[in-house]
Formats: sequence, structure tokens, C-alpha cells
Amino acid sequence: MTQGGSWQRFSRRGFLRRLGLGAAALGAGATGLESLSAGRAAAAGAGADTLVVGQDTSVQTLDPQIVYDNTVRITRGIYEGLVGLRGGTAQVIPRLATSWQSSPDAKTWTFKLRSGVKFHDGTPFGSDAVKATVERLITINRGMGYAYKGTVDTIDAPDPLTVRFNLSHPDAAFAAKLAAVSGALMVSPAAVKAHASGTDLAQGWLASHEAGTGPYMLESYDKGAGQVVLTQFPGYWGGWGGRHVKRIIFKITPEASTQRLMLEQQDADVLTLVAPDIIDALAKESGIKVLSFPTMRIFYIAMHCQREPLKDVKIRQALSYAFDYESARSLIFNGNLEALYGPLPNADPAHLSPADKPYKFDMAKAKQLLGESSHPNGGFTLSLFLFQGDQTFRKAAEILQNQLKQLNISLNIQEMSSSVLLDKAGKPDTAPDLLPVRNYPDYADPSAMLDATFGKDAWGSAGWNFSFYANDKVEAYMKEANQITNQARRMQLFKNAQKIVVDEAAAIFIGTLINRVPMRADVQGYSYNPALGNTFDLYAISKS
Amino acid sequence: MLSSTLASATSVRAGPGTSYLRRSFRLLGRIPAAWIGVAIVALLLLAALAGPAVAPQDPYHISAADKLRPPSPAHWFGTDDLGRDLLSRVLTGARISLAVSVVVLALAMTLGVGLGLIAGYWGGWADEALMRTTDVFLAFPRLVLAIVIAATLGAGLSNTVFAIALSWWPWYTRLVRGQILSLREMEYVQAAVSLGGGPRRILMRHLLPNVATTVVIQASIDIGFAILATASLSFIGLGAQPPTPEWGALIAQARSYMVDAWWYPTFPGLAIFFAVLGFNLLGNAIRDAFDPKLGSK
Repeated sequence: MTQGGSWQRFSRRGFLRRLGLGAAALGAGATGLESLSAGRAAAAGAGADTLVVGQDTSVQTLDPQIVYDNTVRITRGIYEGLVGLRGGTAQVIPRLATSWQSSPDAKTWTFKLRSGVKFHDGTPFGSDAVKATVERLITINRGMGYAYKGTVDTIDAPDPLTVRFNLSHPDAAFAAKLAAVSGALMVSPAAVKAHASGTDLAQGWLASHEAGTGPYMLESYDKGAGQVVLTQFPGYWGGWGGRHVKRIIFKITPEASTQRLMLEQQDADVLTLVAPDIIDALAKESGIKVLSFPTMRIFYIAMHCQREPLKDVKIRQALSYAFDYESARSLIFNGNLEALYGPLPNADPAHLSPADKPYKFDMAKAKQLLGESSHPNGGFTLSLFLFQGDQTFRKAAEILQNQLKQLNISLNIQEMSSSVLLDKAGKPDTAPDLLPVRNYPDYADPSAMLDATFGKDAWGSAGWNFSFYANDKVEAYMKEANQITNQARRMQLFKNAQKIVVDEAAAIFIGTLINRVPMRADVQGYSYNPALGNTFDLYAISKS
Repeated sequence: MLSSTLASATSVRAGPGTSYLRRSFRLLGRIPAAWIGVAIVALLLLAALAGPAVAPQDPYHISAADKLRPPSPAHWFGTDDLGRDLLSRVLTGARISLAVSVVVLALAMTLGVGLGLIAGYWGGWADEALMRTTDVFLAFPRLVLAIVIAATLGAGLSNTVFAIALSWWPWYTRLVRGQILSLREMEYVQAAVSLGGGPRRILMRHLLPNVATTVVIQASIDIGFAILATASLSFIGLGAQPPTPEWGALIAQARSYMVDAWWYPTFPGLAIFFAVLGFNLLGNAIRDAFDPKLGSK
């Protein structure tokens, strides 16, 4: 798997997407108030055919090949990929492609395309658009670009409705990559050509305009007011029978408490906040419902495996026993946290079982392991960085700090802005000893998460491996799994790899988040897929 | 004749006389706001000195069972989102806030007064250079400058102290320089100069004691603002780091609970409010009482 190489994967957008919070601590209050008043004005004319979403992340760009943060909630209504995922499962289903097949060695993938599809600018969709889009993604090489660069060798378009990807190495997960939440969302080649400025492949134009095939078109994007309005595309190939909303308004509202007020005052229909306490409070109010979905978003504390004293596996194991998992579950998440037995969440077919993860809260065991380590009496200080303004990370850090005191280990917590933190944590020399993070797979295959979180080519800024973990056996298992198509065998290989990671305690695995979405009671058809980040299906949602 | 001039010149001592001090303190006692200020500041000092000893519980003890409890006899100020006793945390925070602001002012005063003496006494290029430097600093609002410095240095309480002090000194430099400019033309200073008094002697013996009152008055007003500045930096995450119960940091953590747990942001907020109010009342009263121009009325 080619995980490395793409620094852009690690952009601020990439972080924000994973953080899932918008995390704009500074100045968020002011922005929030502004959007609140603007939201009220918008909602005044909002009937059953308009949906207002309290959106947590401000729009950096709407370019489908670049967007990698929570703005995908918007772009996935405008753009579509070749394939999608069925309901809440990892099963790949047709979208702009009607059928596909791979060669036995998983190196050649051929897709038959849907006929009669038109882009919003009137250009017919065909193999030339697929080729142009994926090449554009690789050239720009941001966001999901890493998953294609180095993997896709050439793209053939033998006829307007057939496209063939020739890969440079076997990739059993290629169809899953095309179904990913972002990346290969098809853009009109005519629009790209018409609006290109120099060699920018129309990045400037597509930042605030669009040319997709999706059910919704961009009606307006007001950066100052923090508002994006989508409206139905009359010529959508899927048709407009059934229940849909006519317009969707995204109000940029990073502050959770402001989102809450918007929902309470009926200025918003759906929220995107993640603050557990606020969601619990909203669940008790009338006219509001909170839906729960299992996610693939894991919550853990990465431990720096390349630097003393955490280089000592015994100390890492001691820390894994010293974490109070139950208190964390109730204090941070009010109990709404699923168990996690290794790097992969329970929604992943290759997840481990409780028997594979020995660590539970046991201070006696922690003391014993520390006693067997290179620092038997503790007496050292560990550093821990926090993303500014994120309460869940802060609480996890304070809970760990509280227990480590008993092991005579002090924990030095430092809060910093996201860009500074990512810059420091991205390099093994400046990274903290401990870093609480969240991560979810970029596409619906076990390799996505394992490679990015514990692969040796994904250290720090090259991926999401903040443990700076590297193990040759793990690498060998993952390499084999990516070259074969026998799913049962692949799952076994992924499990073998995970068992080593868990045994060597590369991270403190705390749990898997539960996606709890507050919305007005009249919202129908909210559909969520754990492999598609924090998005929901805009085409399926409606109001009664 | 000569000897008597000499005697009078050296006996004109710098600094306010005892009668002035006595009168000023008497004046201070007549200002009602001063007594309120004194009471609040005394309480604050008591909390800062005895805080950890009188705190009913360990301010760092996490308890899953006691999460976000409203105020009750067991927890007078309620508990926070990790089940810690808020009263104990606010009391512990008093010591931090006070210590930080005292250090901030000490640093700012040392630097500011020192440079102000130099600029005012020697004048010339030293004055020019120092004043242009202060212009640069004063061009930014104090808090904005402190934020920039703290963000550059990295988050942490000691960096915050440094950042605030660094944004604060030019005010003292300006204040002291202005005073020195007029003081150095005074007869007793001129006399001391003509008698061959070295700069060191003149600065320390004749000038510094005379600006001391002004500086102390300014500092007594500033200490409240220093508490506020520290809390502000902590609020935006640049100051105290978890689990330090600095008041501003407490409010930052508490703000998302404003609707459901009013006590969590309220008590640290009240603590800041009263601390700033107390020092301001006291500072203003001291200024009114000790200002020679006001006092002569």
C-alpha cells in the first residue's frame, strides 16, 4: 500500500475532518453568533422543502478533489463517485458506474459507466470525465490523492462508457477507494478546461463553483455570512420521485452551544456537533430527536514508540493498564462509547475480540509491569499535546494524568492550536510522548485504517501514525493482504497484524465513538454510513 | 555660607515625608470604596495563602460518580465535568492568579522603571531609542500583543507571565520617564548634581524614591488587569494547561456547560470579577489618597 509520500494528506483540512469538531476555538463565538442571526433569517422562509444544517466546519474550498474535511457533507450532495456504499454497510454498489470487474491479480479494474448522465453544466458524463477526474486528483495530490498516486499507473477509455484503471501494483481495495467519502468525485472536464487558470486545473474556480452530476446544485456560497445553499438539479439521473427536500442550507456554526440554540429555536433541522453533554441535554427536549449510529471512528492515545521511556514496551503496557477505561466512558462520553479491542472498530469485519485485548483498568498490574521495566520506580515526565478547545481529548488526558501520579509518572499537558500541534506531532523528534487522537478509515477496507495508523510509511505527517510504530511482521501481513483477493484470508492477515500492535501496546485503545445526531423531530430519512466519515445522504433526507 | 548650602542640599532628601504619608493614609481611610477593596483583597490573599489548606477536597481528584453536581453542602460550588470539587479548584486558582499577576507586575515594573529612569535621566539617543521602542509596543493593544507573544512562545503559565510582562513594561517606562523629566530639573536634584553626585547616587537616592509613589499607585490599579489578562490568555488556551485550575482556564472548560450547569462557569467567573473589582477599588482609592494634586484639595 502506498501510504506515504503525500504530505498534503496531512493538511489542516485533513486534521479537521478527523477532529470532527471544527475545533475553531478562537473566535468561534463571534462567528457563531453571526451565523445564528443569519440562520434565523434563512429559517423564516424555510418550509418543509428546505433543510437547514448546522455545519461545524467552515468551507476552505468546494473543490471535490481537494475537500477532505467535514465540507464533504456539502460536496457529496453536488458530486458523485463511480460507486457508492449500500446503506450503512461496506458493500460497494453501483453509482455512476453500473458494473465493474477486476483481473485475478487485482491490477486491472474495468468499469462500465451509466449512460444518459449529465453534469450540471450540461456536459454528458463519460469515460473521458473519469479519466480527467482521477488524473486531476493525482496531479493535485491533496486529500485522498495519496490513495491513487503511485497506485494508478494509466487510465484507458476504450469507449465513452468503459474505463479501465491499470494499477502499478495489486490493490484488492481499489473499488473501496473509489467509494470513499472524498477523492474521485466526478467533475465536468469541460468546466475544468473552461475555467482553468494557468496550470491550476480550475482549482481557483472550483473553490467556490461546481460542476458535478449530483442531485443538488450550488445555488449560492456566501463566505462572509458562512452560508452554503444547495438546490435540486432538475436533470438528476436518479430522478425526483419520492421524498426529497428542494433546498439545503448549510449554516457554518463551529460553536457547539450555538448549534444547540439553533436547533432549539427551530433555526436548524440537523446538527453536526459532537459534544456529548450537549447532545444528552438536547435528547431530553421536546420536538427534538437524537439518532444513534455505530461509527468506525476510534478514540485512542498514541504512544511514541521510538523515544525513551515509552520505547520500552513494558512501560507502554503499564500505561495501558493504568488508564481508567470505565471512568473515561462515563465522564467523557456519558456512557455512549463502544468498546475497542484493537486498531479496528467493531464495525470493521476484521476487528479483534475482547479476548485479544488484555488491557483493562488494573493499577496493580500496571505497577508490576512498570517494576519490570527500565524505569521500575517511575520518576519520569511524559509530554502530551492537546488540540485546543477539544474537551474530549482534554478529559482523557486528565484522567490518564490522575492515574499516572500513582505510578510516580508525571504528565505534562500542553494545549496548542491545530496547525502548530500537527506540525510538531508530525515529526518523531518534536512529537509528544502521548497524543490523544481520533481516526477513521478513508475507505471501507481494513487496510485503510491499519496502514494509516500503525504502518511504517505513515509516520506522523505522512499518515496518521503518531505512535511512530513500525514492525516488520505487521508490514508483511499487511502487504500480503493487499495483494490477494481471498477475503477470508485477508481478514485473518489483518487480525494477525492487529494482535501484534495490541500486544506491543502502540496506543491506549479507549473506544469507538457512537455518532449521535440531534435533529428536529420532523426530519425523515437521515441515512448514515460509518465508512463515509461524518456525512449523511442529502438525497435521502426529507421533512414531514 | 557654602557649608550651609551644602548641608541643605544634601539634607533635601528624596521621597515623600512622613507627614505626607500619614495624611495620605488618613485620607485613604475616609474613602468607603477603599474598605471594600481592602476586604476583598484581604479575602483573596487569605485564599491564596491558605487555599490548599482550607480547600475541602483535593482539587485534582477525579470522580466519575460526582460529575457536574450542582452546589450542595458537600460541594459548595458544585463539581466540574470530571467530578472535581469546584470550590477547591477556585480556591487553588486564587493562589495561581495572584502569584502570576504579582510576578507579571514585578517583571514589568523592574524592566519598565529601570528603562524609564535611563531614558528620563540621560535623554539623548538613549531616550530616543527607548521611546521609539515603547512606541512600537504601545502601538498594539496590550492583550493582543500578549496573545501574539504567548502564541509564539507556546502555551504555558510561565510563558504567559513573560508575555504579559513584556507587553506591560512600556507603560511604566513612559510613566517614569515623564516624572524624571520634570524631577531632574528640581533644585535639589540640580544641587546634588552640582555637588558632584554621580548618576547612580542621584538616580537611586533622589529620583527613584520620588517616582516610587506613582509607580506603586499604578501597580495597585494594574494588578487587577494583570489577573484579567492572565485569565484571558488561559481562556483562549495559551495560559495555564490542564489540570491547573487557573480561573480563565476553568471558564474555558466550562463554557459549553453554561446552559446545563450554571455553577461551573459562574463561580470561577465571580472569582475573577471580585478579584479585579477588589484591586481596582483599592487601587483607585490609593491613587485618590496619595496623589499630591488631589490630596491638596
